[in-house]
Amino acid sequence: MTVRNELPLSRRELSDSQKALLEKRLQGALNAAAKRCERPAIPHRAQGENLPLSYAQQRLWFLDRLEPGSSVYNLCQAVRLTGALNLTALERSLNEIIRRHEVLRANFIASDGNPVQTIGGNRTLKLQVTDLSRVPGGRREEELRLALEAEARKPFDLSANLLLRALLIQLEANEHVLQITMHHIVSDGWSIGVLFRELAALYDSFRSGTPPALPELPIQYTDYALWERDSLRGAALERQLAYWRKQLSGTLPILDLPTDRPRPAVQSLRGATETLQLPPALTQALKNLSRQEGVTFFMTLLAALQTLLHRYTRQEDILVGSVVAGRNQLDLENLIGFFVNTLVFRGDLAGNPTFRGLLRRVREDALSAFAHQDLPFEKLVQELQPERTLSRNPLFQVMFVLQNAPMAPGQLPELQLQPIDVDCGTAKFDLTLSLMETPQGLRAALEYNLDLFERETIARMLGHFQTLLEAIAADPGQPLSNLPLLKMAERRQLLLEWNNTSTDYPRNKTIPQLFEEQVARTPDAVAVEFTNRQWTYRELDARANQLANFLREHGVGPDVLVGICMERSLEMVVALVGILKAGGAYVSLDPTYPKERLAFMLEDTRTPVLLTQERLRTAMNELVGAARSGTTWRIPLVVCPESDRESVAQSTTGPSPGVRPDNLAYVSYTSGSTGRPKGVCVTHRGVVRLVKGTDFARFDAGDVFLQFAPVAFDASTLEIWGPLLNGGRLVVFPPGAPSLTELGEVIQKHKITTLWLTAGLFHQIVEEQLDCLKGVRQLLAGGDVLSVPHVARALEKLGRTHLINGYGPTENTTFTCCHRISPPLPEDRSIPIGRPVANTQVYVLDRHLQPVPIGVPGELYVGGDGLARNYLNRPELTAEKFVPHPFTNEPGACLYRTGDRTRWLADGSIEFLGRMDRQVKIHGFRIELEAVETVLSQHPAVKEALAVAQGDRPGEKRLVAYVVATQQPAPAPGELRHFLRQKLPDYMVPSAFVFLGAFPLNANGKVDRQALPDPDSSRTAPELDFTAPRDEVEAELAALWEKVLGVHPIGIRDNFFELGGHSMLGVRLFAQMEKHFGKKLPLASLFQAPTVEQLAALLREKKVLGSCSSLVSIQPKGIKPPIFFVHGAGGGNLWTYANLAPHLGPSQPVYGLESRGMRGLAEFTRIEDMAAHYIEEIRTVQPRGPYYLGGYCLGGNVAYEIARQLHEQGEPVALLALLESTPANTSYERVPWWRPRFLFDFTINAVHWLNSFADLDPAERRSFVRRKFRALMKKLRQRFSRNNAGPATIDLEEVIDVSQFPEIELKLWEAHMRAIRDYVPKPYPGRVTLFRTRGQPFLCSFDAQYGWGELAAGGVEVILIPGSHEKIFVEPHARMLATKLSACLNEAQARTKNEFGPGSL
Amino acid sequence: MDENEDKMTYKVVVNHEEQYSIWPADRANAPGWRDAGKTGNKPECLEYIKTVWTDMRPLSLRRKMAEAGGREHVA
Repeated sequence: MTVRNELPLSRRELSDSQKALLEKRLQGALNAAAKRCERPAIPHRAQGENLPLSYAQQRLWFLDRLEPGSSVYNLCQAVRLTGALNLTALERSLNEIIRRHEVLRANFIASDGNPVQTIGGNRTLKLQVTDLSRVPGGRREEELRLALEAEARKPFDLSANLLLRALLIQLEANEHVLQITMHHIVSDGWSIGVLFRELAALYDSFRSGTPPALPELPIQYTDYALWERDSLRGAALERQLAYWRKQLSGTLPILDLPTDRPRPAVQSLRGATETLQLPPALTQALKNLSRQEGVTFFMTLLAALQTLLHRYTRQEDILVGSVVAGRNQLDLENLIGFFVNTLVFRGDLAGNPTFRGLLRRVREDALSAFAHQDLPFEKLVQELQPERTLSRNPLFQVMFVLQNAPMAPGQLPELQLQPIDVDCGTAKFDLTLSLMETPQGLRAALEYNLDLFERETIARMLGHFQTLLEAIAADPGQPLSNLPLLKMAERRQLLLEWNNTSTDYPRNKTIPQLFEEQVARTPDAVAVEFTNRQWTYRELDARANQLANFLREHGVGPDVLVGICMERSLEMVVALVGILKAGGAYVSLDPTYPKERLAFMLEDTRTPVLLTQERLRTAMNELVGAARSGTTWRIPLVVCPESDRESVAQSTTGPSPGVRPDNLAYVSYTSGSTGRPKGVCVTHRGVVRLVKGTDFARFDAGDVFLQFAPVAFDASTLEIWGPLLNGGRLVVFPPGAPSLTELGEVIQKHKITTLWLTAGLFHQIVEEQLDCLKGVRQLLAGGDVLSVPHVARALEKLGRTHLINGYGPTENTTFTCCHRISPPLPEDRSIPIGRPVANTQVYVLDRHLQPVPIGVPGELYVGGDGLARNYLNRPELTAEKFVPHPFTNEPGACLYRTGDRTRWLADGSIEFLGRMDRQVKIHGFRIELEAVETVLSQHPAVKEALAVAQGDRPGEKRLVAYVVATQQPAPAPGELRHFLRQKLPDYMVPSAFVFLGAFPLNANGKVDRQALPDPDSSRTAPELDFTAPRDEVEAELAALWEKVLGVHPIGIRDNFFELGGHSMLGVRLFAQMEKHFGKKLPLASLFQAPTVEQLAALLREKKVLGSCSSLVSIQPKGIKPPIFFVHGAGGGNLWTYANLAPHLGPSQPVYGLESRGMRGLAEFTRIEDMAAHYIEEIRTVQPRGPYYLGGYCLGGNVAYEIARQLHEQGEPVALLALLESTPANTSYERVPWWRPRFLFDFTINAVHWLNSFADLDPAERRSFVRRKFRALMKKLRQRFSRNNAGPATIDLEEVIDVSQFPEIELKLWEAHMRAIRDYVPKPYPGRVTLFRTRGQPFLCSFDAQYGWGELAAGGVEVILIPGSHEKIFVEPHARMLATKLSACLNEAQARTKNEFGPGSL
Repeated sequence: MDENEDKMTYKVVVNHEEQYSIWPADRANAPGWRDAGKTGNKPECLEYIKTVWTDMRPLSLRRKMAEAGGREHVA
């Protein structure tokens, strides 16, 4: 590839002969056109200096500027040629094609921020030939594939390269593969057909020696570009625009495809393709259907794709892109060039139509879209200004292409042609579905973005598409919701195999039965322990029997609810066992609940007896007393089993109340959406299924459980019945709110082996008290989303503990799914909630109760023996939430709809995504936000209320209330809080109140929750209107904006794109900014900083991207391990590395380390401290080695020190790349310079030096000579007065031209020169890769390794790079440096993979 | 999404345990469930269930409890 300077080749710069040639060619073409009898609709025109681009080209040029060096817009076609090939004829034919089509000689350059195209005169293509014929037959096809892919992925330089390449690969004497690669900016799919047709004709002529018979082309692509601009004006343009404006009005949907990995902030274009051959019969059936319905094949397939996307996303308004050839003029049909236009099809799938109904809608949409196909897509984007984000393609994310006619490579004499698929490794969109008609039926190719999807997901998606097409062909009259997606095997896997959880457990026994069996087995084992008191199973049984007999006398029996209002104690455990033994079910009335709630629960449960403790007796009596007035039900008897022992003391023989497994064991209240709590009725069987014969945890006699959760919380079910029904020991935690220290002490003192912690508490313990968990054998945590870093820490420190993520609604008895957590932890997802526990089934369903595919979110429905029986006294709510089970053999079974959004992962575990509605969990408590709002609105001063759960980190979620008050001033938060506490439990009282004048509304007139201000920033929210520039940078920037955008005035918070800015204007703005501020920002930063304020901050901060640490992400994307570059002596000039980054490729992440001094902080005085600080920063991106480090000049010393320290800490360093860097304070310069070897090297090096010196401009040269001379003198002086004590002053003048640097950098220069002067590098056992120029006559003549050999025990690899010390980051040297560095990186990565294994990164 | 759900037509269904629930009116019943004779939007169906489902215990349990209660009483 030719390396050219960035400077463009414009016509102005053509040599005279080139110009003449160009004129001649243009004239020739004109004459040719004039000679033709028919007048072309598109005139061939005389052309000025700068030829314009077509709209489509302009957009591609812009995209290329956004991501230079990308191959995503490469188009290629490979063809296998079997037979005798005439190489010369082939090459001549290709060159003739390039001569005929001037667009193939075009280059694209920027002129003042505007792109122009230049047409080269005589440009010759050299056919590259690769010989694979000597590769052994078995490996040849693989080598071929690799060679084709490498060629397809090689980027073009739009400003310099010939934008067509041809590669010929020889496989056998009579077998070749020809690959043509073009940049999309000069071609399209149709063009490839034109090219091969011409190739066939020309090859035949050149081969046989007859003159080429192809007529000259009447017009060229630039004629079209000019014509396009002229024809799309005024009314014609307006007509097209008006249609699209209407068609794409309103809020444009963003397709929310479920992805395997989170969508990156910046969309990469890495991709791959999966293919699927559809049966010919299916293809024929779909064609027949199209005919019957009066639609085209394209429409049927588009509607099917829209249906697939609808079923994956549940969205009803779906935008899909497709292409039209764009050659609606006869003369364009034989041209090579970029004519294809993109159309947007908007599918309306609302109301669950039948497929036939959808077809009718698609037909209307497609017909009118085709009627308005002339508006270039780029113009449409400019016009509509959809929300810009780097994470998605504008307007649509899925592309659909139907290739009606198979690409005919034409015929070459004596050759058989066979097209070959080449994987270009790119994806322009989230998904591109290409359907091609082949003799074997439709062939589907699904190109997907590798950042988002796994191969398996795409393969499944293609399978779903096939299932869908089959169902459509069989019966197009079905509603979309009924159409199946899953293959039979998939359906069986999801519904049966992954739910095959049945185990042998005592499903027909009750809790008292199992407890009594345990008492009989181990009567003298300790059952329950509280501080220093213990009871054996026998003792516990006896006391519980006494209470049970007492309760029986007071009317307790099966399905009778007994209130219990007790703090944690031995007596509380007796009470629970006693209630169950009496046949009843317990209901916890937590004494901390507000009175209103307790009163409601008393009435709801109609409890005949309320068990309490002496200290709570008065409060309970009051509660009961208050309830007495005006009730129709029996007032409960308040009993303290402890102080009322005499009346309770009855026979210790247990009663036999005839309880059955489907009788109630307890009722647990959860918050309800109407503000009224609902009682979940849990059966004996549910509890037994949780703790007997299960698989999520081990329960045996050796286990010690901690009873810690409030009985009102269903985790207590596990804590209490887990040990008591299995012979284990239950340790009751003392009452009251515990400190973490206390909790830790109890866990250690009582040797707890099994522990349940809510997510919030788990996170706290991991942070503060992790060591106390060391003896815990099974740690169950859940109730909310677990934080991955906390889990990682726990796993690391608690080697022998099984850490289990437990999930489940109260309605399915404590646990539904469990996940035993083991490394590797998910990096970008939550910890899975795992698989269904024993005797439990789970289903992820869409809203039509159809199972959704793996990876697609749906609501979780759960079933099995753990299901609660109903909600107490709430038949309508029970019927709504417990629905018929459609997938079972057990007649009449139910499923509980959890309201949780989940999805299946490919390994059969489930990932929790959030609540379907707005029900949230805060600190493990489920809260329906509407319930809070309902109560809050009851306050007289509150007009409207909204409750929102805020907080990103799990466990730190908090409840925030937004209030519109009826009066001013608004009520005090304290007053509202007080009001709520009367009616709601503490956890339902918001922690912050925000008062607003009115709620922000969205287009539908509904409250826009996204637009609610943060509690902390609410004060600044109303001033979002106009803010004038506040300083010079902002003012100058605003002036530039005004100039570029033509808008006045510009507020500093106005969004560039909302003001009508589009990509081309962005390019112009950045060109101006570069001129004005002397600073080059990547164009992409406009997306991340689209306001004057943000851009000014970027300019001021001299950073590549805004960030508050030393770490600057220059190119954070990519899958390779990152490389970290340390700043040079100036401290901040990371631009040097930023120049390198694009050449290292899009998959290589690059970070820079910027000096602290650049942010106004005190600079480190020691290199060692600097290094230690940077290591911390590096670890925020990459916590563990192997590391890849680099540094230029002074930065090399810092990078060296970083590597050394990392090595000391046991972290491997895979690459230490020192760029033009010499070590401080080593003795290599003392090589006797009079030795012949030195003189020889010096002479050679001096020649190189003079060469690069000659490259400098005169002023630079003068300053350089002055400085170098002084530096030399000083060096000599120092050498001859070595005993000259006292710190030498730093004289920057000698090192740099101080007039070139801002003050802050000069200060850093000085600080860094001091630090380096005092730095004595210690030996480093690793290896150094030194990139050095030849332009340092003294340095490299002393020692080719610049002295690093003395320090690096692992050796020094020296890599020579072009340029001089100062110019290595300037083109074309930067590109060469990057190429060599890239090779080192790849090699180091390959080495690392072997040494550390694939899992080490 | 909720709006769509509310627009759906449901029917009231009942199983052999005389437990009630609702089901999309245009879909075949799940195994063991039969129509209870009421169709309408969701609130209508739920309101109907409120009136007919007065004893929420499963029928088999009700019977067994009655038998046991009977025996206890006799005893």
